[in-house]
Amino acid sequence: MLQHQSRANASTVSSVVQSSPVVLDNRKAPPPLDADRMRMYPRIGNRQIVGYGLKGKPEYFDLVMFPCPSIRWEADTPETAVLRKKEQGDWKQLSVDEKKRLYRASFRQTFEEFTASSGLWKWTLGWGLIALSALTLAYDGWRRIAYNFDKPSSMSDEKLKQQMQFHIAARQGPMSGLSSKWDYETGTWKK
Amino acid sequence: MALLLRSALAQALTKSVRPMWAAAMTSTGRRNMSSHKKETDEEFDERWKAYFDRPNIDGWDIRQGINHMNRLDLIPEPEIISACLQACRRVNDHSLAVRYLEAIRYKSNAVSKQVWPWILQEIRPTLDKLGISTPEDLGYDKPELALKSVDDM
Repeated sequence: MLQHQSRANASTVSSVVQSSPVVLDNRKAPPPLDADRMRMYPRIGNRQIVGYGLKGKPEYFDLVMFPCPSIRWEADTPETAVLRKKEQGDWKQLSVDEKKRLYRASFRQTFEEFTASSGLWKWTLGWGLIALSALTLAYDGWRRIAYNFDKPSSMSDEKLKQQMQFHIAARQGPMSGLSSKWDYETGTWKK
Repeated sequence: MALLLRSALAQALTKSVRPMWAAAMTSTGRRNMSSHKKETDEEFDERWKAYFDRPNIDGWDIRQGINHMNRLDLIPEPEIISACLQACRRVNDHSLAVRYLEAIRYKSNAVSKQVWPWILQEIRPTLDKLGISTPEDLGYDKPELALKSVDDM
């Protein structure tokens, strides 16, 4: 679209006021073309073109480098049409809520909102730690499965019992350990 | 031209503030390596003020001017800001004025926290006369809505 033509169309006074939030209903027959509807670009709907923007295209953007996008964010509903009429008068008569409503009709996010930090570092750290622990567990599981050897023969019950008899005969732990619990006169455990 | 302030005391004493690098430059004199004339700060201010002071300016030109000036490596003088706000009044667009103030606020906070209160103080007469709310008045100095970022869609 030629720039001068789009600029001529971008009148700040008249804009298409849409009554319902749904612009095109696919279930119904397509509406007949008229002058107002011909201003309705397929991609932007009934929103008003107000500026040049980035490259002359009627697209909305929230950028720090370019504060003013080329189209308004919302199309004019009857309520905002009333507010726009009030905006042509004294701005001191506008309440804070009305001014905020007007701002949100023209822009999607405030500067503070689209420059706020995303908190991505929390996700990165969390998933990094989860991945690290998952790898550790997988490695340990692999070692337990792949390197599952039989127990040595000296871990059988009879051999362990015999080892304990040897320890007691050699008086291992006489003060507070194993042999202190064995009664050598009777040859049994102490009561 | 550029509004890089050195200290609160300096800004309280003098109205015209020179950029930091000009102090080093003026001692050796401005030398033009190219053949074209360099614009002085006053000429720059006058040019932009004349641009916004046009009585029949429309929203398209205001937005062009704001976008262009935002890309330059400077924060506009309060006179230019006032001229732009009055231009917004002529086209009956209050949200555009708030957006402009937000852009200047963001840019000045990148330099120093002392700049924005000074700018507000300088343009307070214009704000009161036209009835423009600052971003702080609307509560837009903190994020209000938690919308999904465009990069995450």
